[in-house]
Amino acid sequence: MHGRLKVRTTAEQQEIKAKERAKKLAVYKVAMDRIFSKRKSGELDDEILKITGQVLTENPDISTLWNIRKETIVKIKNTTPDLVDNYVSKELTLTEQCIRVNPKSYNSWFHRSWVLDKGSNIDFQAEFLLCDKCLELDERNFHCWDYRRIIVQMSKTPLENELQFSTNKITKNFSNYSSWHYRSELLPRIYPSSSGDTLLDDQKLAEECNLIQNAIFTDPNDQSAWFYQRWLLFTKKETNSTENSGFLSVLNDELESCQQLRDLEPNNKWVILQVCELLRRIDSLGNKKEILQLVSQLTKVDPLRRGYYAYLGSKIEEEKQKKTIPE
Amino acid sequence: MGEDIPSPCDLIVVGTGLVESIVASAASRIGKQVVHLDHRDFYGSSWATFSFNSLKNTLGLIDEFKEHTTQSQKEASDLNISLNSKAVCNAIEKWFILDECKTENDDSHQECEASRGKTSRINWTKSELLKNSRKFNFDISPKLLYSRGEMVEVLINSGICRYAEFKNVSGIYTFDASEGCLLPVPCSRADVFNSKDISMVEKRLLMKVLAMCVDYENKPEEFKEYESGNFDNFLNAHKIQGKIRKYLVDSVAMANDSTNFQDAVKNVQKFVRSIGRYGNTPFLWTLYGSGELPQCFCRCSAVFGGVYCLKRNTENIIIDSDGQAIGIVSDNQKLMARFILIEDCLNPLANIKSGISRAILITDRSITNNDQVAIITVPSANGKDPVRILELSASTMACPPGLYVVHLITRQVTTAVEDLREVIDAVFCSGEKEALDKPNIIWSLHFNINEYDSPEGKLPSNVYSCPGPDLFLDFDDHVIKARNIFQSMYPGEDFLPKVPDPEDVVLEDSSEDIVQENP
Repeated sequence: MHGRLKVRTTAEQQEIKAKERAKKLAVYKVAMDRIFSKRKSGELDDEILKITGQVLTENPDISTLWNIRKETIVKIKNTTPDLVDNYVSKELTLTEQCIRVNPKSYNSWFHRSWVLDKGSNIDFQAEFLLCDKCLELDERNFHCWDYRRIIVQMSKTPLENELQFSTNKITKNFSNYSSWHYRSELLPRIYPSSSGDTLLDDQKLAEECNLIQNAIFTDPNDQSAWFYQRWLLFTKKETNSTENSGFLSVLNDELESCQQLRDLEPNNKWVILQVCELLRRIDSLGNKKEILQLVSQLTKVDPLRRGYYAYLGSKIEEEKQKKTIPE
Repeated sequence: MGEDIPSPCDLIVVGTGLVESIVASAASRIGKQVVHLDHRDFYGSSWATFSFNSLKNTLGLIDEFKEHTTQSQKEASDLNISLNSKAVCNAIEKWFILDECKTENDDSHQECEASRGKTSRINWTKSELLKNSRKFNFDISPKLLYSRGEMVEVLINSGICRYAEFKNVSGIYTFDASEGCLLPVPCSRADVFNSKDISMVEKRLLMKVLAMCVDYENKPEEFKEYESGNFDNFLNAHKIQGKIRKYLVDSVAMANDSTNFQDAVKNVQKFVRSIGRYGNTPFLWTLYGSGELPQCFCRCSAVFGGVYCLKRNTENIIIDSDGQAIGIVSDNQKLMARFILIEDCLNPLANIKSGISRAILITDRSITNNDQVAIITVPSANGKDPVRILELSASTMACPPGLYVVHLITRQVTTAVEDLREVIDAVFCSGEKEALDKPNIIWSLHFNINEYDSPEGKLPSNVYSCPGPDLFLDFDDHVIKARNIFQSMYPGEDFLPKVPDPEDVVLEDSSEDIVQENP
């Protein structure tokens, strides 16, 4: 028994492809002509939905066709409101198909959120399932994250559930800006601080600091973890307020643990940078010498960003200047 | 049956253990005529997997051998095959449950249950277990596959993976004797991040060491001072102590006090690179048992023309005047061949150099948190060989639902019972009174597997002795040995090369094709 490899030549392959393309183009042209002629004569009906649906399934990014569908839905809502739900569910099916084809299509996601507004009996469970699935395929799909924010608001889902969702995502993979960002949006709303200058209540802040330290120690090269820590520690509700002593102690604890990490990873620019920023917040005047030393170290360790470090250095110098001007 | 065996052929293989089966399939694949025999009535030799009843029958058979009554045509120069091969021996079986239910009467049965309390062991009786014999699959030599190891690569390339199914090992643990509990070993970055058992600094150190080992080849300067020494030195120098040292030594590098740095780093690399290919841990388990694998290779060999014969004795290897082997005498028939492979337990010149102590247990609950397949390393107190525990749930097809099959493996020091007693007592309950927090043993089997040396230069150059099972957790060493034997016999030939994509293969049918080819 012998097997012989049979491979089509490039020329043959190209010819086949060209034929397919020509066929598709002809079909597309016929469809578009029909759609526009119907619209011109005001026939925003089932047939126009059918044809636009066919075209959009092949190519979800034709905004005009989506807008024509929107016009049709609005017309249905105004003339026969009881039938709207049926059409809404068809729109949901179509957008889902299109999302499968291109999960990053602005049009598909926007149309879906637009349509949710028009229906009266939306199954938000299904919407969350769709979001979950898309995020599993691509954790950073901002369309999907935005959509999730919309359905959370519409369905009045308790924020604690969403916090749990973000925790699950981080447990699976802590290297994800989107998950941390989502968390940063939820936490201040669920655990607001009682005092004026921190974002979160003290206990929650401590827990989050601990959580992010785990990420930083596991992988100090992961940017998303550092940015989250900066948000936790350096975002103040009101600017120009002096640090309260309670928060100062939090900063000092973080500094200690950062220094510990620095002992293990002396050449990691993120660690050095964070130590710098912590020293600034704690006592920018008193620590100035050390801060400037660190800045020069940063320039050596991370020469690609020496422009930024130069700027940082000059800013720190300025701070000193400001503070010595007599009031 | 014997009349159908081709003679002369290219390669005669005696024994259907893993190494010889791999070589047989590789030889058949390059078109060599292979004759593959085994005196037993099953495939796999000391690698086989058995149902409950056939295990008991076989243990008898492995110890004894069919007596030859007829004269064998033996010349003075011929090599006698060691017929009384006892690779698997010292089998001791023990039951921990009743033979039958005491009475069939409903009332007293209920009384029986009530008085003993509601544990699951009571639900099984010996006769019920035996009735379910075929739902059990017991391995003599259970082993795992590294997802990026030699075995997986060979299986994929040769297409032999189609003949078997695999499952992810879901949990890796090390046993902390001081606390008497299992420590889950973090495999992925997410595991390290989420671990509540180690401190921040320990997490950093662990990740750092792992990254260093994986990056070893790219940064030789960092390792100059450790290269020729022990793995221990390297760990001490980087301040790796406590739990993370246990993880690294026991479960990732599979090392002990004397393991050298190079070997340990290779293991670490294999471990880390295998994570994530098929699942969170680096390991796969073969569904229905490791004994599937030698069978898969034999099947591949048969597909490419290998001739197979079980229950076929081999008495001698025939040696000519130049000291070369020219064939064998099998069931009194002369079979000629260019090369001969024998499994090492049949090699008359081999001596027993060491042994493996094994136990197989049937238990009523999981040691872990219901992992489907778990591997637990119990490091030995004196830095010598650890005991490895492999727990299989019913989803691996090792047993009926509700039960677990546990394999224990360690180096033989005295007997299997003695070598494993401490660990079994620590982890399981074998007493009359059922425990609520430990798995209870329903049945146990202890045995030993002999390991043989292969004295160099005593066998004829065209006779190869194939090693049997060893203490390693995986198959890679054996795949490498099989490849070496193959390349020694057929230098320059491809070893189980990639199978062409079926879609690319067009069967040649000379007459019709010419018409079709012209557009």
